[in-house]
Amino acid sequence: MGEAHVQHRELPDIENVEVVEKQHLLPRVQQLAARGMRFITTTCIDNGEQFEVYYHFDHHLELTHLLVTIDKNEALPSITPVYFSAFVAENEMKDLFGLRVDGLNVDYQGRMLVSEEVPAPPMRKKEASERRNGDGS
Amino acid sequence: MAVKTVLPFGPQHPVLPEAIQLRITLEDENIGQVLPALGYIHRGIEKAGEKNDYPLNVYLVERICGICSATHGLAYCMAVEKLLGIEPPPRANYLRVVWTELHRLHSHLLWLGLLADAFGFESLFMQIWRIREMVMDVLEKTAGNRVIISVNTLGGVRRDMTDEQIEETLNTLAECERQLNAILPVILEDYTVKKRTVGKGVLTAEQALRVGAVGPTLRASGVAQDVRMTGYAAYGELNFQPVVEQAGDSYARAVVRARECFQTIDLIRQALQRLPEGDIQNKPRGNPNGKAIARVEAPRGELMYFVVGNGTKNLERMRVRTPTLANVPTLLEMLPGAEFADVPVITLSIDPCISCTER
Amino acid sequence: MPKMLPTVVGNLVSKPATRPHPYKRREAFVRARGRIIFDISRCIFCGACALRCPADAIRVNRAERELVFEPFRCIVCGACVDGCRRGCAQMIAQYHSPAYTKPEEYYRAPVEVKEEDQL
Repeated sequence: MGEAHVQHRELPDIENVEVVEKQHLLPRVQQLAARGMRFITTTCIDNGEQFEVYYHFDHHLELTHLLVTIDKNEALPSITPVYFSAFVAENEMKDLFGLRVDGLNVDYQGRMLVSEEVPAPPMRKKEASERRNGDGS
Repeated sequence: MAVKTVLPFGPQHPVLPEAIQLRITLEDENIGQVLPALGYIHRGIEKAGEKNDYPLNVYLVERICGICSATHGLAYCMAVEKLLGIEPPPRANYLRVVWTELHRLHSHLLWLGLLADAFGFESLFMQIWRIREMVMDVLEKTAGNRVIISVNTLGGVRRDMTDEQIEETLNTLAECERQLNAILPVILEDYTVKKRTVGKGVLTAEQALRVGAVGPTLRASGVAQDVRMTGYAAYGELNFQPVVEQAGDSYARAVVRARECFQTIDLIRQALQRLPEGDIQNKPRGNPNGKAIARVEAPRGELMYFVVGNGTKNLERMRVRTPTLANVPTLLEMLPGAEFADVPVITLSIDPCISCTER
Repeated sequence: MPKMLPTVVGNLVSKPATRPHPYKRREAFVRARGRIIFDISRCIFCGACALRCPADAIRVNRAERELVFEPFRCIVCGACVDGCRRGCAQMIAQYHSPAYTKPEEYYRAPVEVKEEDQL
């Protein structure tokens, strides 16, 4: 399969990604719900400086994605007024990354998956000033 | 005057295969509100996936769930193959279909046995698991293990099937089909079983789509969506139609899974008879870079993997969306208004696999 | 009731489906995953098996020509067998029998294999 052309190949990426700002998130999700899209899940990626949050939707087996980029201490509006089953995915982001989400219909206060003995959100990348000994739990 | 009580269903319950808790608010036998409490089996697999080298993640990911383990390996391999830019050869695609469908068969037989056990019908539970033992023997003879079969690898499969193994598999499947035809009417056409499942836990088609249900839970409400229709691996070349029922209650979900058993046996026969010649793996080279999504139909629904690579031998992010994560909110729609004695059967009818849910 | 009757009668007249293990054991199937053994006479101590092990069950010491294998950490995936270029790591079909303590197996070339108990 063309091993000699490895360096000329484009980086594989996912299609149908739409970048939205935080304040346009809820209206855009309401438009998608009116078209009959099914909500799949959310994904949060920590790239060191900010959080990139993807929202994945499906319509008759075709995928659409929304991408919101926010700072680590900002809060996202919840999409549970539109899709109430999103509370599972959004609570998981709260537990594992410490991302603040406002307006959840069912809120576990960051303790849905993670117990009280865990001091910090486990999947956050450590910034250079906070790195402790070892490679972090 | 109705008295309100809050009763915990789970985490230890004879009907549940894994631990989940539902806090049910009761008013004199009728259910008012349901709140799930997860977190009993969280193992941090997404974090472990970032610390391992990317070829070793195949072994990690297969152990997320015991019942659908080959489908997790398949989805991970498909996603990372997109990042590396390689494709498996045709014979490997057909073999992947054969082993995935064998997994689906053993998972549905396991569920049918648990359904019989939920009614207290233990002898039928044992009979159905005897049929399942034949399928496990086939898996052990061809792939090496009964449950965690480790046949998927990056670029193809690790083992091949010889001609006599193919013939033995086809004979075993014919025997399974004969025994299933003899035993399934016992559970599906019984008066008592119908009284406990027909009309209980009804989910209409718009409710199912709005809540985000997947798999047999969605197809039993009349919506014909199955990820195998997108034609990944060798499904595009096989004759496949999704199995749909219209009623949306627990009985319809049982009938969908029983009919899918027969459809699975037919798909395996088609794949084995059309197996092309060739080698079984294209070796991967280089490090993964970029973003990719892979979707696969696990026995419980749609399984999605989203992997992000950054050019080193560790992955940047591995996100797993399992089907039961999407099916658990359907309980919040189905249970209110039902009676408390129906809760075990309705919860079992969505086929909960909680170790997949919490990874 | 009449639908289950043929199955019930069939079970009454046929022999039992279980076997009295451990008095009668089943032969392992030919390609089953049992356990990993090492043929140390072929080993060159390159360490490819230790690099590929997902469970960290193999430790290779090239300077002293020694290989330490912990069979109770092994998940019998076969990654070491696929990666060994000399045919030293092999998978056999009979599984490791249970034990009261967890042994470690030390392989030193060219001495025979010896098992020593660890804590």
